[in-house]
Amino acid sequence: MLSYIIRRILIAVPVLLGITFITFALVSFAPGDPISSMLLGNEHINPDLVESLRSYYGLDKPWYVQYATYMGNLLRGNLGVSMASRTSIADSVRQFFPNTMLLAFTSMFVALIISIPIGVISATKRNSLFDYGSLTVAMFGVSMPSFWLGLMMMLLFGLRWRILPVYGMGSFDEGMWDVISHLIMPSITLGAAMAALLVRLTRASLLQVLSLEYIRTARAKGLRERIVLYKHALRNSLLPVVTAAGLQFGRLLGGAFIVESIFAWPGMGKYTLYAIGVRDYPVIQTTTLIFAVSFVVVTLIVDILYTFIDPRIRYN
Amino acid sequence: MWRRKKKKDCGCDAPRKECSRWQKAVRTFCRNRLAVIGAVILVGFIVCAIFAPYIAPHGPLEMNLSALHKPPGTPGHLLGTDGLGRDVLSRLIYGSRISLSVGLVVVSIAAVLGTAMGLISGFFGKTTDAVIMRVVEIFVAFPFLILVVAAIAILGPNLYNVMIVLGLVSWPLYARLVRSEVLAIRELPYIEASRAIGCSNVRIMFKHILPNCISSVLVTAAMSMAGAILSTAALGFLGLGVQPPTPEWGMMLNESKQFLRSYPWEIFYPGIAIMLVVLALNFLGDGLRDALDPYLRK
Repeated sequence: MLSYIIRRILIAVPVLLGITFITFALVSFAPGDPISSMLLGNEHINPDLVESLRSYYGLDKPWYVQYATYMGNLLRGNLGVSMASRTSIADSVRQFFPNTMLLAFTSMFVALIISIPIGVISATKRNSLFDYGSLTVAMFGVSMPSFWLGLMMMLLFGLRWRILPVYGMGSFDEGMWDVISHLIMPSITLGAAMAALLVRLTRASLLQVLSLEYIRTARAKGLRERIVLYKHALRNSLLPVVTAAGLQFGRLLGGAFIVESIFAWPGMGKYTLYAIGVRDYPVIQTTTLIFAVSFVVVTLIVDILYTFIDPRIRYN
Repeated sequence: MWRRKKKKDCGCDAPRKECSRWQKAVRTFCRNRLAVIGAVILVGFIVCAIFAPYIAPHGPLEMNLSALHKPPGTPGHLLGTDGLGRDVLSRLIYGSRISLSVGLVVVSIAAVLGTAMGLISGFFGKTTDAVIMRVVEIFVAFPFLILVVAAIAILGPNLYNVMIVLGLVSWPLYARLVRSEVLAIRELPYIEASRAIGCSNVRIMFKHILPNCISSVLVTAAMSMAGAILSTAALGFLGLGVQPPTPEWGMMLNESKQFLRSYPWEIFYPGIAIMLVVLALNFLGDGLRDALDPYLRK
């Protein structure tokens, strides 16, 4: 099993390299370079100064040299300096990244908590009113733009009824409830689409497992339906659901952009959007890289966890 | 009890043996109520998009500065006006042009590119396959919206960049799908037979393998068009999509967001429009999958 884990990690390495190359290429091969975007409106500046600035940032060297410098910096933990604020990007990332992870994981948790019970009930009461109802709601959930849901929730819970705060994160200094109340709306907004997907998946997976022969054996043995369901069927049917949840983590990261923008959640998404607004290319580059690397790491963890849950994978 | 035996027929005019698989698929599709509803809604939006100048009561850019932020139901403006006095209904109708055309172009680029890559990768195997699949894995390792946002941030937000970037980020989906189908079909005897009679590789790929992959590509295309429209709206909402004053549903939501407290109704209609189109496409995709799938299994 250890060999599987090592093999899996080794496979991830070229992917990580590829990611760094693409984020590098994104900025380097794009039309215009960071210096020229900084100079917008200041074209009268002495061209010699511009050239010396270019060589200071290493932008006049060939692309492979630039890429090597970039990789060297990354491996040493130097994430670069923001062009707009002249502060170290690593500091900002250290500040914002945990908030985004908090939001993303809470959303995943919320999605699982909502979707699994509904999916199970839907599957056990197949073709009932509840089933059709939940499938319809799931359909709507998948089709609804998350930003619209967020705005509607903000309208209802924040402005009309005034029971939840509409922006910011709150701080742990003022107690857990402060942070949790700030977390409720963003995480539901972010998790809704995933929950809708997972409801359908749980239902389909459970229905498929319930049709297998060992379930028929369990029922024939005279076991109560509840034990058949929870002890035998559920465990196996949750497998694809949990893996799908892990793999959909990337969607959560992407959705974090939108949700952080609506609810002013101080996370990586909001930081990146701000950087986009001021054309701060190093920040855009680095945050994209970090998002991608987090996703790869989460996928890796899901794959490895999967071997513990389903031993059959190990022997493939 | 005595029951009258009904002759089985699939409903088409041709005698049973000559009923083609496409006719059977259409028949299954038509029986699926949700899919038909989805198709009807989609056709409605397409009609709006094509005949927008004739349907919309006002122009999309027509500003009426004496009628700002009017609520729905104001005479002349069925769904109200926005912050610059433009009629919301007309902007929604013209906005369908943008959303639908972006969706179509994105899916076309992604499907053509992805299918080609999948065919090549699955057919030639070995190193070509390994290389292409590594590239696919790298693309897939990026959270979708993040790569799109970063690319648009750097290339500049306009309609064409949105189409190209979304198309270029979506092709891996098709490539993986087509590749798995090709791997299954490649081993079938008739492919070997084609090779034996001297068919060129290109001919085998396009005349024998491709037609069998088309069904799953179509289903994926319908679902991924829904995703493309959602992504376009999301980009518009973030301010990174089609720029104002062009009417785009996501951008309309972005503009209404600021007035949530004073004019809350403005966020309803663009969101409903987006949801309807995506819902219709999802129903359509589900229906297509059910209609074409049994055929695939045969």
